[in-house]
Amino acid sequence: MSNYKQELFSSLDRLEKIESTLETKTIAFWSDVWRRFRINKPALIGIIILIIFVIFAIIGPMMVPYQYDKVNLFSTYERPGSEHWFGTDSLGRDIWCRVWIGARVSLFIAIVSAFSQMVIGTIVGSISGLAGGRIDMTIMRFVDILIAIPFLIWVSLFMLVLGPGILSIILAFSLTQWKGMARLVRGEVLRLKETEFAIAAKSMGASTWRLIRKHIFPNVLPLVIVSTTFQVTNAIFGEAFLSYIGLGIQPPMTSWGRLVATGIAEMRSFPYMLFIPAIFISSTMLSLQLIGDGLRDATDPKMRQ
Amino acid sequence: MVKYVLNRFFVAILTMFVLATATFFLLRLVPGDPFAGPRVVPEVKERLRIHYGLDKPLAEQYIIYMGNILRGDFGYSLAKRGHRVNKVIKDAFPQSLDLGIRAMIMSIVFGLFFGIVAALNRGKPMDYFTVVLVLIGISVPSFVVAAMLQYFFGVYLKILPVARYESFWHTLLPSFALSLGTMAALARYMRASMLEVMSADYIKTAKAKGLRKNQVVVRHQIRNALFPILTILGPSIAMVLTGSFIIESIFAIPGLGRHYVLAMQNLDYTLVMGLTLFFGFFLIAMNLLVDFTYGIIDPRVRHTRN
Repeated sequence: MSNYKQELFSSLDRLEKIESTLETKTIAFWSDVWRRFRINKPALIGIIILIIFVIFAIIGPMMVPYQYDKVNLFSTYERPGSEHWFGTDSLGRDIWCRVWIGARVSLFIAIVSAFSQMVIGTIVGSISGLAGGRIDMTIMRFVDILIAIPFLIWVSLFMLVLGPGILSIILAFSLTQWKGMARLVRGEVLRLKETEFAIAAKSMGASTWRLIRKHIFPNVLPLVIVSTTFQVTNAIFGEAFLSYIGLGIQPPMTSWGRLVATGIAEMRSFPYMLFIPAIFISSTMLSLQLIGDGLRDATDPKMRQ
Repeated sequence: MVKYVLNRFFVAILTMFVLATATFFLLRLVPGDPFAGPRVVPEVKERLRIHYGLDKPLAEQYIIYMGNILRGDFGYSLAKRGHRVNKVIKDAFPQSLDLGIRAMIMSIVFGLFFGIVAALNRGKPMDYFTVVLVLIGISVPSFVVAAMLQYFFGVYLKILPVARYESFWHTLLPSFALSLGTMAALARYMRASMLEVMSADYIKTAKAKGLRKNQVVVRHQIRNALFPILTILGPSIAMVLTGSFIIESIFAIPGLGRHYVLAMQNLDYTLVMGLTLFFGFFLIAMNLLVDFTYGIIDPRVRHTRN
């Protein structure tokens, strides 16, 4: 060390520039994911079904000359036919119309709440994983406590406080359901922090922010996306549960959960009122499950061929 | 081991405390009046508030409430006049427990069976059948399953009772509906676990020793594949418990789940609180039991978790 020459070493600033020239494009990873996802038939079918549902949720109610909340006491309990494609309910409202309005509500709640859970969970999990030490322990103990009590109990308690409605449901889900994501992201961040590429970047002078942005975040993302897909399924089920017990969507507004709840009450004489929404809710959850499974397989490096 | 047990125990107590506090304050924030009614005059309402201690300052109410919980007293139900919450729990718990145990047995027996059979017949029709069954079990909501079963067996075929909980035949539909989700999850995990074990070295050794196929499967494969399954036993108990909210309501079973749903609809604070805490306590106790079981079975757990 005694006879080193000063000019052989340069300042940290320039080194950081060198590190940024060493960047590889992350696009390669996603095109690879897409390639593997594409050959997964069930997942593709799931996506197609979901797209069809979304399109009909937008245009479905406009395809018939009825309104979802228009009461017509001269045409109550009409069976599915050419007049009313899915029949009518006890107040003569067109079920085709109600199914697609319900789809808007259910899908909107599910997607928005899954997204906000993802954001909260990722932020809390990253803070916990990056900070470590006492902060990490406190956050994780808190998450442990939240996880010990099932989500339906937390959500029901919050719904009692917030009152029924679309916004309350989204808020209740967002406030209580980020815990799983936080735990997942934290574990992944802890693991990634110690990987060789992260240490290499750090030793080359990358700032913490750069480390997060370039090395940790892109590697956490696939897991987060897969887990969010499953959260959408949970949210659809949660909304249906709340609407079934009367804490969710209130009439005349409707959702798939409410339609199923009404269908259960009427199934003895008018089984179609149960079957129709049941088919929609089940096939949506099935599609999401298939997409989630497909994404998980496609993003799992172990499955790469 | 002692340290591990104490640690888990401490977390359990803390969880209970947080749950009790959160429930108390959340329910105080609930809009609406439990004594509201067209014929309730203000004076009567005031007397009722005093009778139930709702006129005292919040902090004092909280201390009284926590003290009562420690003594195992959940107070009176607000909506069901003269009913103690403890009595409601005592009357309803046996039905729920009965239903829960039946559902757990069904899901463990069928879940493991399908998982094992699918793994042993990988890529054959039986495997595909199980995969489809698992997907349906995971993705079709329990209340849809329950309502469909009720319709086909009770209303359409008329071979099983539609509702209530009186004889063995009454228990079949609700316990099956309640078990399906857990059954599917168990089958999925068991299949994956079996496939993983299949390629392990000790299986090759067992085969090389010249053991018969049955012996390899039963003694080595299934036994080792069962360990990871234990980890989802805790969550399955929670799944069966929350599943009972809907199943009991649909089949009109007078259990805890149905009371919970009714109490929320009636804004019966004390009953909601009592049941929430009871569920919480039950689940936490069960999870502790599962945790200790891992600790005993798998020595790695008690060392790494400390």
